[in-house]
This record gives sequence, structure tokens and C-alpha cells, in this order.
Amino acid sequence: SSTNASLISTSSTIANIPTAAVASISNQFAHLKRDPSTSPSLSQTTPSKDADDQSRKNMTGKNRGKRKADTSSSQDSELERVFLWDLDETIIIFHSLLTGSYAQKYGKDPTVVIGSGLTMEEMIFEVADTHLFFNDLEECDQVHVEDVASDDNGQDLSNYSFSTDGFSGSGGSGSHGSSVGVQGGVDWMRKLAFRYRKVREIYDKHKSNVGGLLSPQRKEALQRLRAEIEVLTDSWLGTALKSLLLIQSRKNCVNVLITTTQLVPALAKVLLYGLGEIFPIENIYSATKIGKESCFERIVSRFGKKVTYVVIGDGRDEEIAAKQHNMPFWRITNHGDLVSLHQALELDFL
Amino acid sequence: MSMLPTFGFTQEQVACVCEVLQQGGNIERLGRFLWSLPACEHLHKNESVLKAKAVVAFHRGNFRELYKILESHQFSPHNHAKLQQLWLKAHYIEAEKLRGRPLGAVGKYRVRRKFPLPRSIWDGEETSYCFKEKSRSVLREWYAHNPYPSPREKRELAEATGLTTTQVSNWFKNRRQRDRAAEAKERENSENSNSNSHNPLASSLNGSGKSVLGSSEDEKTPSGTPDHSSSSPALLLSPPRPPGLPSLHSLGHPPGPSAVPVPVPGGGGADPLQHHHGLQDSILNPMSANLVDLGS
Repeated sequence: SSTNASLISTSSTIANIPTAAVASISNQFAHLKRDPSTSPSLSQTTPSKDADDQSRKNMTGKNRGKRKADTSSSQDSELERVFLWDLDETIIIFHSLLTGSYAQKYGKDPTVVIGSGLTMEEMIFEVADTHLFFNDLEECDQVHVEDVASDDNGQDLSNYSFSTDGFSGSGGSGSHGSSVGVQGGVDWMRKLAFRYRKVREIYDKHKSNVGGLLSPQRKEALQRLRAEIEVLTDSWLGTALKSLLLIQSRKNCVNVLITTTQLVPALAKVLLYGLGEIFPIENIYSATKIGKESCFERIVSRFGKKVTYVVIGDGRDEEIAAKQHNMPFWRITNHGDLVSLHQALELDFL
Repeated sequence: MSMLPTFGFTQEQVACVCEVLQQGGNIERLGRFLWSLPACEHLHKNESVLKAKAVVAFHRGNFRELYKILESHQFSPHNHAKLQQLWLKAHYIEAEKLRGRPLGAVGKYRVRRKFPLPRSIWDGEETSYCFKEKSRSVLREWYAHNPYPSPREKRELAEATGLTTTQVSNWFKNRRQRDRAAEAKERENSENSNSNSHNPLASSLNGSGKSVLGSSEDEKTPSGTPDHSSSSPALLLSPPRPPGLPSLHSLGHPPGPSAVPVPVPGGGGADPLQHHHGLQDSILNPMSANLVDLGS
């Protein structure tokens, strides 16, 4: 596995991933317009996903579980492959840093490894709490950022004060607010929807440059940390990125992320590890509440049965879920598996 | 294309690629991939690889190769459906080429009869019938105690099975015809074997056979002897129990004679040929008459 330093540009902006298809910097406002032509995404299926989101917004009732298949098929008729990625220990190394198992497996100094893991964990929760309302949203976790959009009234949030709107994360009526939402009441649901809308805005704005969310010192610390982790993990992320970017460059392929981390911290992770450009927020799913199998089901409803799905993960849940949906599974247990994946993609075998 | 990279793929990864390309319908790429695989025997016995090879062979019209692959390896059940389709489609295409015209339903049926599915891709279970097993078993049980339902009974049967009365009528008509044909064929077989054994004795023995054995059975039916050609199974069967809904719902083992028109007392679906032998055995050895299991 070779280190591809250009992919982890520690000299320039932290989360910048130079690719041929990088959209212009003036994408900051594109998310407001939802116009496919200015849509800030490197993934060509964004237009259809926007339509999917719109149709979800228009759906009445809390029928979150019943996503319609994406019927704006003009773009989808090009789509052939959907790659379903696991995050931890597949694309990034994070959890096993903390537990020391990575250090053990690859013979690294455990103190350093765990230390890096802890520092990263700290940053993840810092971003999640400070910028992504994690304190508010932890109890009402969602699978997908659009899940509560139907409760949004679309009002302008530029002068909205989230800190003083009386929102309580545990739900208005005392019962757990994370379920259907009837308990929370209309008002509570709307405030919840505002938060997720804001999360989306922030993600879209900073996905190419998470440094914008941090102070200069923290930004620098993050740069160092990421470089450190890359060295410790023998360029794990860099190797994974080769495949991710190759898939992204194809018109008929798309990357989707399914993680067992809660959605908000997962978004923070994605931003901090510099994956924001690879995964548009609508392609990120959290399986914490419903499990991977149900997540896959939702994704199949979204993209349809005519495409071929490929599951990539380090085992356990995703393998079982893949088998249940008769999806081919590519197992990642070490660097070699990531390299082989890239080779298979390059040779047009996948 | 360099062969080297493929050596880096594990068997699991090879299987994954095969699956992906098959599901995606990328048969050309699949063929290219298979060709690039190292000549490792273990790899080429992998089920996903074999399945892929079968698909490629079919796609290329290389049917000999396809049949060889399908017959050479025991495939696991979850792959049976797809591989059966390949087998059948290939045979249909070959038959159509011979005929020069597309095959109709009957033509395909004949092809399936001529080229039965190999057990490597088939578990031996009968292929799908038109009617559900539930319906068919109701019809079978009813037939067992009366192969000639009245119009009213047919209506009741239709209701009980979810079929139309026409379908029920046709089912019974076909069943009677086929039983007749089967019986005639069995008789023909047994006559052929009779003529090979001690013949003159046989006919007279058979003539008295029925009374020797008839008393030991609770059958009241006068049964035809092996030499009699029975025209209709109804002659062999006692009058039916009073029909009506109750009998449809409580179809236990009917005490009446079975549907199979075996011309021997003691019905049951036993092999008629067996019965004939049994008959002869018991005639020759009266003491063992009752021991011979005629009513299996």
C-alpha cells in the first residue's frame, strides 16, 4: 500500500481533496437553491437525490419508514452500481485506535495510537456539540438528515436563535422524543426539523473545508492529527480514498455511507476526516436505530432494483445485511483488501 | 492486460466480482475476468465461479460447455432457480433451431421431458404445477373416494380449492384419463410378464383368486381379475359415501376403495404389478395369503 500524499494534503487546507471534479468554491449558496446545475456535489446523481428529498418533504405524516423508490428516473437510468460503505475500520480507522486493537494488530505503539484516537474523539464531539446540535439531538437521533424534513415549515433561519428557542432534546411531553414524534408535539417537531436543516446547511458549507468550523489553533491541530493517524495506519484512509474517488469519477456509480455511529457524530467524523466531498449528506445513513438491514432496504427503495449493489465493510452487521439482500460483499480486514478493491475497480471488474 | 493483479484476489473476492458482474448483467466483463483468473483448481471449483462460467457459456451460445458445467458440480439450493433457467433456455433454443420455428408451450414441455433437469441443479421436487399443492391435495383426496363428482360436488370442490368448476371438471377428466392410461399400460406390462411365466395355471388361478382373497378383506367390491380389462375405474369402486360438504372437510383416509383401479381386492395405491405377484404367491401358498400385504 503506497502513501498517496497528494490525497492527504497536509500543506493546504485540511479537508481539501483535489480531484478533477471538484466543484467551484461558490457552492456555499447552492444548497439553498437546490438547483441541480449549481448543486455542490461531485456525485452526478445529486439531481435525482434532490428530487427524492423534495418528494420526501412533501410527504405527509410520519411515514419515515416508507421511502418511495426514487422515480425521477431520467438520471437514474444511468446508474448501474451503488457502493454501500461502512465507515469505521473500513474507510477510516477510529474505533480500533481507541481500543488499542489496531496497535496490537499492526504492532504499533499503543500509547501513541490510543492517544491519537482520543484526540480525534474529542474533536468529533466538539464539532458535534458546538456546530451540529448534538446536545439537543442526541436523544432524537435520526437515520437520515431528511427524516424530519416533513415537519419543517421552511421559514428563514438566518436570524433564528437556536439557543433560546426552548427546545429540549428529551422531547416536550416527557416521553422519549426520538420515536414517531407524536409525543413531541408539532412545535417541538418543527424545532427539531430546523436543527436538522441547519445541520445540513453547515455540512454543505464546510464539507470541503472543515477548518472553517475551527479556530486556527484547532485547525492546525487537526491537520497534525490527521497526518499522524495516516502514518500510524499506514495510509489506510488514503488507500480507501483511491477506490472512493474512482467510483465517484464514474457517472454510473455512487458511494453511499452506512454507519452504526449516530448520525450527527457520524457527520462530524466525515467532515473531520475530510470525506465531506465524497459523501453528500443525503448519501449518509445511520443504522444505530434501525440496523443495517433496514438501512439497506431503504437504500434499495431509493435507488431501485435495477442497479447492482456492492457492500464494502469489515464484517459483522454489513455482511449479514448484504447476505439478506443478496448483495455481493467485499470484506475489508487489512490494507491488502483495500488495495485489491482498488485494483478490481481499476481493471473494470467491479 | 497483465495477469499479475488477479493473483492478489482472494477466493472470496473473486466470488464477489463474479456476483457483481452477473447481477449487473456485464457478461462480457465477466468473461474477461474469468479468463484472467489463474489456473488454480480450487478456485475454479468455487460455486460462484462455476455459476459465472455457466452464465458466460450460455451468453456465448456455448451450450455443450454450459450443460457440462451444470452437470459437473452439485450446486447449492439458492442457485438452483437461476441455473435451471439456463438449462431450460439453452435446450429451448436448441430445439427451436432444429425446428426452425419458435417453441410453443407444448414444445417446451416436450423439451423438458426429453432433457430432465440434472439433480445437480434440482432437488427432485416436482416443478411447479398450475394449481397450489393445497388445492391439488383436496382434489386428490376427493378423487380417491369418488372420481365422478356431481355438478353440485364440483361446485363445492371449486369453492374449497379456489378454482373454477371448469378447472375442477378438467382436473377430474384428465385424472381419470391418465389413470386409465396408466392402468392399461400396467396391465400390458403384467401381461407381458405373465406370458413369460407359468401361464395356463395363471389364468385359472386368477379366476379363483378373487374369492380366496376377497373374504380376508373388508372390500365389498367385486374386483376384476388381471385378465379382465376394466373399462372404467368406477366399476371397481363401491358407491361413494354420501357427498356433501362434510365429506369435503373431513377427508381422512377413506374406508372405501382407492382411486387406483387395481383389479385386486384390497385397494391402496400399491403397484398393480406387485399385486399380481402377490396374488399368485398367495394362491400358490394359501396359508400365507393373509400375510401378503396387498393393501399397501
